[in-house]
Amino acid sequence: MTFRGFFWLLVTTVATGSGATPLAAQRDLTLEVGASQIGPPLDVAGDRARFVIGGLRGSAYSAGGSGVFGSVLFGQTLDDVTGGNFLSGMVSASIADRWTSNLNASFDVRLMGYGVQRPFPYRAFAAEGGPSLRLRTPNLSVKLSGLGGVGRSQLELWRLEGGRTRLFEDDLWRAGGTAEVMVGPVTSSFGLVAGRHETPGGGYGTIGGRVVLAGLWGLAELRVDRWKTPTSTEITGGLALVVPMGRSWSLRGFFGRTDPDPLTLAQPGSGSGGVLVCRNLLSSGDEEPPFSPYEIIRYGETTSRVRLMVEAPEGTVTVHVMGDFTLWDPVPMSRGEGMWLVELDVPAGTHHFGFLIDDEWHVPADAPDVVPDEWGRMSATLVIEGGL
Amino acid sequence: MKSPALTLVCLMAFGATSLIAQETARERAQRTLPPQVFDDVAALATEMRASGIPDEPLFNKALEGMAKRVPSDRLIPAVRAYAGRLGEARGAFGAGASVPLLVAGADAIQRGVPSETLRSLPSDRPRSPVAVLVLAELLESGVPVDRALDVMRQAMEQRTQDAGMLDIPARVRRLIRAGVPPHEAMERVRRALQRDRGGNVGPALPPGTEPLSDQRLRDRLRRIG
Repeated sequence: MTFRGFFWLLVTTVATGSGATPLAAQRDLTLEVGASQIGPPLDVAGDRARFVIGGLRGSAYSAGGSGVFGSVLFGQTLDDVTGGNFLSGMVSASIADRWTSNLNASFDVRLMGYGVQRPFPYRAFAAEGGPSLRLRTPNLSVKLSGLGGVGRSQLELWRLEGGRTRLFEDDLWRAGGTAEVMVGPVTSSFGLVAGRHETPGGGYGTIGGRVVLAGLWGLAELRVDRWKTPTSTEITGGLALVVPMGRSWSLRGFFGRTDPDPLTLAQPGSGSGGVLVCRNLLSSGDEEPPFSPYEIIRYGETTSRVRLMVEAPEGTVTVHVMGDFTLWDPVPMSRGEGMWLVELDVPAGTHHFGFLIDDEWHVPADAPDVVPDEWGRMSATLVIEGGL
Repeated sequence: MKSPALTLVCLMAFGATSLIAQETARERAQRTLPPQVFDDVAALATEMRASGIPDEPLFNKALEGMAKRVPSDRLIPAVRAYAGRLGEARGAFGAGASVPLLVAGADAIQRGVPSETLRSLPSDRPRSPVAVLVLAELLESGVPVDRALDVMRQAMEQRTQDAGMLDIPARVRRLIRAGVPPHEAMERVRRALQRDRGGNVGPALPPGTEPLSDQRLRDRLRRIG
């Protein structure tokens, strides 16, 4: 099969492979803008190439865990001589099956395209994929992946004196596998990765270490790898960061030395880095938040300021709130914009409460965290954890 | 100050307000419950305290019944049943459990969560009342126990804040209302939770160093001279 034929076969796989369940329910799309700098390989003289970069990345997953992740990135050089500009894209399709709560199998397919115009027209396409098996417990993750890929690169070179253009085309392939063992909870794990890949030019072997830290502040991955390529031994790695800034914004970056690529035969640069400011344009989390009859305005050491609110029918004369935090003494509420409101200082604890609308007990039907009392009615629940 | 008398009145009023605010559930129960009912609740509280059950929630339950105009003869059985659930929650969470955690646990049991399930919540970090509340919500929505516990474990490991934690059952309910089966809804939310922590770091930036570092390109450039 020609590369082109295989390429389109894979495109079809991506488009239809996980079509059994609708993808639209779990989706996101992010716009990214930033800057990056790429150093040339250590043994190549030249300046660093600086780019303004921007692009889109998004994903759509089905309920079963199958889905598609894609990104496209455009770079415009800030230098006239080196780097040119580039357009790269990647689509990763995963068909997953979760056998148990701890064991997950998936088949990943990735399509990559890369093209630049300067200093020479260069295009590369690659498609690779393979099965993965991941065992995950709260403090251990083991992942075994097999990977095979094919690619093709085209390069147009011209000689200044002759003015003729020569087109070089290469078929590329790789086959291999990696194993990853990570120890520790999601918030702080570390582990080892090892892999072996065969290419037309020889074997690539790698062994490396990972440290992943995650928390409310974001995610950081520190990696160091030792690569044995057919021509050299390389140490690569660096720091990748994702830092959320509010609900819709985040910062993403990588600083370090990129890996050699057994498929495109790209060599590691002497060092590169980039920062992207990301704006989430679409997310399944964009849905309207559910109604809550309370809002914690300010946390305190012993008491927190809480706004309580409830809708009442037209013509209501009085509305009160009462609960554990008022020792079940009714506290009058004021009529606001379509709501009855009151603000109270509430001590830390798990509290039951409800409203009296014209002296009738009432808990909003769509309020979350409603618990039945011992007498066949419902109460709302408010939790304020201490020392926040 | 223009009038010392006015100052005194203001201070007294402020003091009275503070006094009301600082009143305990027991003191208020003593002040407002019928004496016989208070005595019965106080006797029950004393009995339960010996087995490590705090008395504040019991007096609160009695006050709740009064405020909801429950007849006196139905108050004591309800408080006794509540004390039993608090005891069951204490058995699940251990002797060091806080009062808010016990109240949340008793509520979860009232909503049909087995105490064995409460015991299964991760114990390697402090169990939060919000986590218990969310677990009860998920099970009430029809989410299978193992999936609900899996998500709670993940959320607790990620130190998801209360607001984020409370959002989990809301998201699950919304999907269920849209026709998604509970176990699938839970899986989708679990995946979203994973993504929220930045799970998709994606390829390193910038992608590759082509074409400057392409080995074949360099070879050819050398050959072409």
